[in-house]
Amino acid sequence: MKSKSSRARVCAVLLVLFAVVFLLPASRTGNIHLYILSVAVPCGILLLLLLPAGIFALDRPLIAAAMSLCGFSIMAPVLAFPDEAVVQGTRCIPALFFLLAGSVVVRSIRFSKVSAAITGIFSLVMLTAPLLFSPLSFSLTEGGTVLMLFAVSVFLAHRLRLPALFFSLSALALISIRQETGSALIWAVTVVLLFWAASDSLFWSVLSLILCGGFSAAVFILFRGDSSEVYDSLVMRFASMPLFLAEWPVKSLSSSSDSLFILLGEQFGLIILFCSLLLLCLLLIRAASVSLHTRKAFHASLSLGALLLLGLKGLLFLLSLTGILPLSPGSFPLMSASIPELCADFFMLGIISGVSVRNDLDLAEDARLSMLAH
Amino acid sequence: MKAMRYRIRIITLALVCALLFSALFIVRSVFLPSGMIADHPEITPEPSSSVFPESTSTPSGQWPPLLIEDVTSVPESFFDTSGL
Repeated sequence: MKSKSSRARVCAVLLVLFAVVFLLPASRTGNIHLYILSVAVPCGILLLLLLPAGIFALDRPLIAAAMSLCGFSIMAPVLAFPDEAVVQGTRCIPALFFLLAGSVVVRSIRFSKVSAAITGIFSLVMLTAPLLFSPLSFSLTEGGTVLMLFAVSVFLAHRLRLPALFFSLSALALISIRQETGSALIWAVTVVLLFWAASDSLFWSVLSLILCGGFSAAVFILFRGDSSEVYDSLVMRFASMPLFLAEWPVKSLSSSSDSLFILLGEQFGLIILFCSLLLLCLLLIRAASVSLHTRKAFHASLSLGALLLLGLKGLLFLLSLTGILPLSPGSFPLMSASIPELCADFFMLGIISGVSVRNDLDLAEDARLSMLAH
Repeated sequence: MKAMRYRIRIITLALVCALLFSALFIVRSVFLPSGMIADHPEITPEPSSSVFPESTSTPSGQWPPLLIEDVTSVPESFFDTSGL
């Protein structure tokens, strides 16, 4: 009862926060779109938190954290570029369908070795497509790596380490050819850690470390950019951020094409920036607890892989933002302005939610069996 | 599975600690000297009236241009340190 009431309180605070954040600039500017957002965003969060409980049985704390980050991404440009906030809101709608799709795929489809091989080949095709069709304007890298995660997890669960390593290295090579150094690094570290966690053999862990580590180090040395100018400008941008809320009218140093994370800091202050970082940490801890309670190695590998892809993306973003890694910062997890990236992030959340549903189903089965035994 | 759970715990802990540690770097970059100057653009080197007479400073508070003639016309008594 107590946990239910505290959960309801947290939800109420979230809803009020998002309603107020959109209502205040709406009342000042009289922008009708902002009035719509002040109703649509809290209602969307409320609906998603209530309905999936009955229909898809998604993991509520995970969804609440994800929706808050998503709300922050809509909130980021609202003071300086109100129309961009509306566009970001519409970007989040298809991503939510991918959240449900990820959950359904994990809880309903049983992956065999053959289906894993087919998924791996399809993922390689997705990663090759931008090389063959150069006018392709959107990135398929995120989607391809998520699908590859399925294939690698199945192979690792069946102790087929050689195919797992082959598909992982093929994906890494294809990402590297496109000179996406950040994505290549994230994928390489994910594979090495997955091999270490899922395979009991030290030989395979060391082999994956040597191959993936060497490959990603070579890519990093070859394709890293000179980020000193970017770093200097980012340091100035951080220094100019207010602690909490910018003065009205907001004078933004950013353009609407800038990272939503930076925009959020400039408009709402460093405190909100750190809140979003804490939300990501909470999300990762929840995902870890889900993968700890699984019974099958496949589900554990899959949820750990999704956790790693999301966490390493956030880490790489922060490290490149602070100038520690000389890479162009991509986007913060769940706060991207690119629809394919958002869809892939929400699909990974769906995977973790689906694994959580499987855990609940296993517990229910245990309870039923113990009742029958008595 | 037991070893895997143990490793998942280690990986998550390391990841969360790394994320929080990188947040500290953001705090550090905020308090860098260059950042502090950027935060207060009104701070510019302004000549103090007690050292420089009012007439030598420009109205905008900038340093006056250095004229070679002024240096060459310094009297000899200026370099005389015998009285110190």
